[in-house]
Amino acid sequence: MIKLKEEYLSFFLEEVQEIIDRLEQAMLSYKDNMNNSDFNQSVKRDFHTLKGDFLTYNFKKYSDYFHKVEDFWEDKTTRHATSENILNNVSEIREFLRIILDQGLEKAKEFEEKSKIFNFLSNGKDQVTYDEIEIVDIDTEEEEYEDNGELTYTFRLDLKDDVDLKIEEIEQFFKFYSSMQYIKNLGEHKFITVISTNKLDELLLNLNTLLKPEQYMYTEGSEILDKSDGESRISTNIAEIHELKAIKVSTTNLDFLLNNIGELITKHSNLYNFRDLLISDRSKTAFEDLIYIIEKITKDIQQEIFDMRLIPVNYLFSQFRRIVRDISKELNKEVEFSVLGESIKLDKEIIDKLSAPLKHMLKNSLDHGIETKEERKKAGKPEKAILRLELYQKGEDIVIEVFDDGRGLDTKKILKKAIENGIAFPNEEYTEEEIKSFIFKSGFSTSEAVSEISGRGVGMDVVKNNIDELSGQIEIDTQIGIYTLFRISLPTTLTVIDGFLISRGFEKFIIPVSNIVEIVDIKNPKLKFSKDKDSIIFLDEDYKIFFENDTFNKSMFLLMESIQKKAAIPLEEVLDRRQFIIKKINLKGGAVDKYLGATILSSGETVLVINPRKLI
Amino acid sequence: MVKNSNDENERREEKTEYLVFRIADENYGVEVKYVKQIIKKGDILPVHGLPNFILGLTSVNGEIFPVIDLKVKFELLPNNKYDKFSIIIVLIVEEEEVSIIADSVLDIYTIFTKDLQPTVINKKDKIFTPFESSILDLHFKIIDLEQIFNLKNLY
Repeated sequence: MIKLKEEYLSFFLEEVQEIIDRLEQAMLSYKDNMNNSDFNQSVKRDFHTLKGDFLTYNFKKYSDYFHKVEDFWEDKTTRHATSENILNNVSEIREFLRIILDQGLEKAKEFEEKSKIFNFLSNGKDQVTYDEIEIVDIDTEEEEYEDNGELTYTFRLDLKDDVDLKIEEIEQFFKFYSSMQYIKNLGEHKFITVISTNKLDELLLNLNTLLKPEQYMYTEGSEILDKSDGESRISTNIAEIHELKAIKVSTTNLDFLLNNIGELITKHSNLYNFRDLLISDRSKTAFEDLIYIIEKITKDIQQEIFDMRLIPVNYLFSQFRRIVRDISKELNKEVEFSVLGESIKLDKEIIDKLSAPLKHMLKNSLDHGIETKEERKKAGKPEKAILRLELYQKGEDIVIEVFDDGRGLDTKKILKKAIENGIAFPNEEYTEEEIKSFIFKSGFSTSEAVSEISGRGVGMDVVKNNIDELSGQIEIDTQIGIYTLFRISLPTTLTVIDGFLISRGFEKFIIPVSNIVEIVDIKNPKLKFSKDKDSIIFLDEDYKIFFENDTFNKSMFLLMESIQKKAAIPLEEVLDRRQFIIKKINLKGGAVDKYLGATILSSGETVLVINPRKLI
Repeated sequence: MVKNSNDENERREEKTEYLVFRIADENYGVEVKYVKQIIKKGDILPVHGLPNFILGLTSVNGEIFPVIDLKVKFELLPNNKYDKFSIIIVLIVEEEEVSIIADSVLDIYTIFTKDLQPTVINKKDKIFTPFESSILDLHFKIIDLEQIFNLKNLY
């Protein structure tokens, strides 16, 4: 049975396209310079990537192929290859990939039968036989779709000849009742569409308001495949979907657009000031209307560009599933791995930066966190361990949790190790929190035997660095023998923030709304100062005062909260609340960490954006 | 050996354009290829906790970048304040935008490599190329931007 999640597929296909481009590049440069070891390296890397990709997307057979290709390549380059030969082989593989992309798998199969290199690979010295090509549905994927309630359906609508309905109208309908991924006009009043929804019944009910039952017939999901010409339909679908989704825009372009839109909004606010130059009320009103319309359009464009930068995390998570499966097998540990919150979308840059740290944390949990079966049995725990990756939104923040019910972190051991490695001092007293934070220091490794999987103590410090770069925060919650929980909180996007513009005398700051609990008037009777005046008490909660400064008239306190910690910032006035575009500051380290970046107000003034995760 | 001396000659015939500016009565030059634009000094936002030779942040055309005060960095009359006639030279070094605040800009000069003289290198900061130019009574020190704006060197 052939079923593929189109969403994954388009990512996969994009990646293949990239590799094709690279292979072409590599071949060109190879022609120029025959003894180019860079070429060999780059091609080998690409084959390796392909191997992994095909496996991730469950094209097991091709994954094996590329494993062979990789070996073959190594052999070829180290021993006896004429440049001609090498080029031919690479171009053949490139051709094969291109066919997968453009013509679907059916054609790829034909090509493969004719191809010399594939024959060589399957009949060569290792004599590996391959089964019929089969693309297997990733069963787990289906389950997870059920987790968030959404299932994917493929609809085929066959309209009666007398119905005059445009593809746009059908698209609108499906977009309204579901998240539509794909629609295609097959001609002759036939449409095919792929949608995800958790309310199929509602959709079907409403379909009747759009069309009378006798005006259409629809087929759903697998029936389409049975009815039509099966495999080749999906093959053409692959090509079609790729065609539809293949518009790639580099993030540089998006950033450029975003920057300019930001400028436009700034200049637009300046424009408003000219209103007073107009004399008649009528022209004033007309001017205001115009300004309003321009504002709306620019904001819409801005929002659209923000959204373009966001991609769903499930792309990332599908790799993790494979990794966890492979590693737990290798370690002979039984693990139930669950992933929650895949439908959340994040900035591309964030996803890229998260990939490595999360991978590492999962490996760590599998390797060090979760005990062996025997140990678990002895401790009276079920043999099957739990490993959970959870992603959810909290206010403006994205929270990512990695949980395992393994042996937990032993602070005594950590301290001992930290002292051995010169990270901590023997005579000093450390709090639990401080001790836990040692594992993020470079050169720290607790595992007695350095294992092949998570390697030496390079890791958690890299994790911390990447999270820092994303202006995020990482915390550890653990109980010996019971569990370990890493909790990462991050801003949803790096470029825009919903914030308050506040003033404190000469200073102005922007504070993200995400962590704000409340803004309290200083005269509020429920507000009390603590004895030593360094914190305030509001509704029985204790908030430590930050950014104390006597040069202005304090009129209110802004109360902020991150997990477990609470802070109050005295301020004079709240000037504005809206979305601000954050620009990165080209400086690193030190005090810059306290800020997410800076933004330019319509007045041209530069204002710093406070990073609540680093302040508290 | 003959070839070598040819190379040497070629090298000496090379010329480079420098933007020369004044800071505290001394002349400094940067290679023109790094200069993005020169602007009038606008508002500079001080950022608490940065090293003292960073005056703060300023913005042009929607870009925000740090302003570096070479008077403090080079320990030249640190009390000499900048005024509204000061200028900011915006540079792009290794794809990052930074800027230098200066008292004034002199001009752009084309200098033959052979006219460059060895100069005293500020060992502590390694910020000068070991050359200075003194043609036409013009004397300026060349700042090695790759060194000075390598952000690690900033701290």
